[in-house]
Amino acid sequence: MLFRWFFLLVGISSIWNCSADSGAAMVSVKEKEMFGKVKEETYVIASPLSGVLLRDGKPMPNARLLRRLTWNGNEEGVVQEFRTDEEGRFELPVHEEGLSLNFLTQFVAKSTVYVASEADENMIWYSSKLTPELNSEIENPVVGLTCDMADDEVIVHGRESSVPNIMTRCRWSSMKKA
Amino acid sequence: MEVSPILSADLAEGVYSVNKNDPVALKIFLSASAFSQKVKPSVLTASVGGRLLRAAKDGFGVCAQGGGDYQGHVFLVFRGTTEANNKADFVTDARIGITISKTGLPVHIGFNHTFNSMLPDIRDFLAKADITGPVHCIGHSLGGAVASLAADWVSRNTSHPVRLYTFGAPRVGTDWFVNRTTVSIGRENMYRVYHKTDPVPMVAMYPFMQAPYGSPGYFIHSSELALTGAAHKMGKYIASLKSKSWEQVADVPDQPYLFDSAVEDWLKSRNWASADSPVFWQWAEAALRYVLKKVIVVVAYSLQTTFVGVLTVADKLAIILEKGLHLAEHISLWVELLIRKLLHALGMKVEASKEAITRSLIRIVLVQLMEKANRQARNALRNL
Repeated sequence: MLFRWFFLLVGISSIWNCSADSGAAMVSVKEKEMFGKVKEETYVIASPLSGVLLRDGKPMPNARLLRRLTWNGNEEGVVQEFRTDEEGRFELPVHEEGLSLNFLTQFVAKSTVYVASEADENMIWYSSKLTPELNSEIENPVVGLTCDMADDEVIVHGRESSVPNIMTRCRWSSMKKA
Repeated sequence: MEVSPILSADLAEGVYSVNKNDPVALKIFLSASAFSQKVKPSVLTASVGGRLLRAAKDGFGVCAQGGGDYQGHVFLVFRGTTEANNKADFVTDARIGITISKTGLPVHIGFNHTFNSMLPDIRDFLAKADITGPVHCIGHSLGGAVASLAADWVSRNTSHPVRLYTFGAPRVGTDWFVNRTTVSIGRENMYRVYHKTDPVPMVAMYPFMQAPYGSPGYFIHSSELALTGAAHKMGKYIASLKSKSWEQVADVPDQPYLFDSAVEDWLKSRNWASADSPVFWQWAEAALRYVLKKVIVVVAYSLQTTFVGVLTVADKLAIILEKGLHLAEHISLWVELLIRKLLHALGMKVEASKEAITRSLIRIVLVQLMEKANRQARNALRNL
């Protein structure tokens, strides 16, 4: 009990003098050192994704695809434009960024793909990614991906986790629905 | 019923995707089988940062009603920081002072500020939720610190049983808080998981401490020999916990520095310690606590007047230890051994005579010790 009392005395009174002199280094961290420059590293924001775009089972040739990518420090994100070929096939390439994330920052990147325009009803793919490696948002190889605008959105576990990370109108052979 | 190691870790990681302006991310997160699909959840909004520097708004956690195996349970899942450019979260981490929590205990001022800004939402959610089981409080890093305060609050202000799961969480409060929260939540209901080489759980340094009181928690051996920022990543915790039960995670030998006799042996040992080893910090803090306890029992009442005025923590501890040097041999010996051990570990000149150990020298040793600890933690985290 005496020891408890002591800690309250030491602790509470230190509120007033925490930044008073060098002794404050015991319980405070110098901000300028804490905010020091962190070395830049490569983060995969979105892994490649390829498949066929359909509406009611029929390919959508020459359709416009918009991919919005966001990541730490760029919440607004970037929008990239792609087109399907004559048979409705599309290929979205990998996107990487060099980032300097401070030491406690958890990497979070999101990829949202729309058809024609960025309206909710046009969304065919949404995934979040929490580690920088390639294919970490969807670990199993995606084979036979088809995205039909007429299909409902489903929530999918793209990686081995109790928490899903994908919402999509697309279907593929190894998909694991939530 | 507790949440398994991997499920609690998955939730602590998954919540990082959620933020206030992203309803799709919230919908996906809440599709996890642990949650009920019937109840509208609440996204907690925290005001992060200090009034003196800068403030920002960001989603910081999720309240959710349990479902499936967790019918009648409630989950409060908090996340650490995702801010890259806005330094507001780091302000929270750096503003290390002590204040009184909503439950009347001395805690970290920054974490307390963050938790208090979410408390109205938590209170509102709990009042409306259908709770027949435990309230599970979960978080990684800063989220773990906030989860600790949430668990403490729920345990004192409601009749619901509480379970607390933290991963690589920093220290939230001083000895008093740690002791009281351990009693309130229950030692067996606290799952504090940390890699032995994760530097975050070792900050803020003494007099901050980790809960549960007198327990090493669930520590995981790391292959690295030095403190490393990589050991703090949530992905690394998930990899360490995969396919393990709590019993398996806990299946490591008791840490020797938890025993007074081992601390005495360490102090008496001629094997000089190196401050570059992660284990050194556990021994150094255990030894400092052990010696302070011995001295305070004798001199506590004479300290009251000494402590009035503007003094730093280093000053106060130096005053106490110096008083200890002038007490009976069975106490002063430990003070002397401690200071010599720390001097050596810090690479400072070890004084030959007892008289050479002055209050000023003790203060310098303590300041250097804490600065070195903070510096090591920062370096390890920066070199990810």
